[in-house]
Amino acid sequence: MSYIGTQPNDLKKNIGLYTPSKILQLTKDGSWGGSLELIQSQSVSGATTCNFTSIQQERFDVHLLQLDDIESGSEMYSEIRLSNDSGSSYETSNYQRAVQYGGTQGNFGANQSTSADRFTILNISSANQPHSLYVYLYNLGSSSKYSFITHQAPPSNIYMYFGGGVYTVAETINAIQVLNSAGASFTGGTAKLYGIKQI
Amino acid sequence: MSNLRLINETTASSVASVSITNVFSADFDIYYLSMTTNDLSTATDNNYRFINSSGSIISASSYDYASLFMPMYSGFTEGKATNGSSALGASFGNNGTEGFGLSMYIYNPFNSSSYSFAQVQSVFRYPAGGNQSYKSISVLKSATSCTGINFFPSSGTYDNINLRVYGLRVDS
Repeated sequence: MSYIGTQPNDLKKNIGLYTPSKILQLTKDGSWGGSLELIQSQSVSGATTCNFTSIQQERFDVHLLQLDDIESGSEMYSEIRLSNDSGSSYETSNYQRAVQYGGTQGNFGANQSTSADRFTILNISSANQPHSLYVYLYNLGSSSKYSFITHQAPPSNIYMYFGGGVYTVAETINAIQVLNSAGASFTGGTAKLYGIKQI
Repeated sequence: MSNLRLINETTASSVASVSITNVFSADFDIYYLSMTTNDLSTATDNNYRFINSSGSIISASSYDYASLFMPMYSGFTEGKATNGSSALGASFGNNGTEGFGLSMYIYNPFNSSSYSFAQVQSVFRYPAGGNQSYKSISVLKSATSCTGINFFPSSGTYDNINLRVYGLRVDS
């Protein structure tokens, strides 16, 4: 095992050697396997949307969504919508955003909205060019709090982006949809949803 | 096993500051800190300072930061300062209960031969105007071994605050 040494405030102390009984106990405690838990990984190729409908929002108050090498046959922004009915439908109002972008051709700027129908402008790329990004999502499982996101994208072939967004309804979110501004079928890429462990 | 390791979770209510001690060590170079609750008694700034290996808060005038406030309702605003006694490393907080989201990466805090660096990205409700996002970088310009971090609002108290610290494990 590679986890050698005793950490301050360890949930369970160890000296780098795990016995079967320790593994069972760590598993029971929820501490086995590190703190970044993969919930689901999906290829987005061939579809216009990619839905996560088992996001385990009752277990995690911080989620990490990672989009790797997303591309389509059209210029597109990557986008996200949220659902309060396990993915039967996705909300189309009450999204707000603030995004800073920087272009490889030298132009920088800001984009914001208080009346959007989705979280958009997470990253952009030209037709048949991939882009990647990550999004942290906060408090999805709380019925008394808004849902918040922060995101950052490395430079695609056109722009880099970072920013944040708020879904201004206090309700439990239990599904996430990845889509694109062109409404085009993705031709490649992977969407991965992780939970950041709390225990 | 993923390489993100939970080190500490802290929850507090009705406090003027929060100190998280003994979380930085030689086992990690990079730390991830998340905050999902940050209810303040009044809308104000969040600030942070590092804590040294003796457990003392480092308040020397050695903090620099640069930030970008990104309101969702108006133009963006830059912020910066040098040689401050703390860093505006976290952002404005909300003084309601709508929630909050913050991700912070901290680099080399325990290394006594390196400055300690941090970057923050957050999003929050600011009652005076609406919702905002925030991005910052900051540095403690002192080659000091730090073992903890302290957060405090510029005025008032934290009605409720919750944060967690993780280490990014590098296996050799």
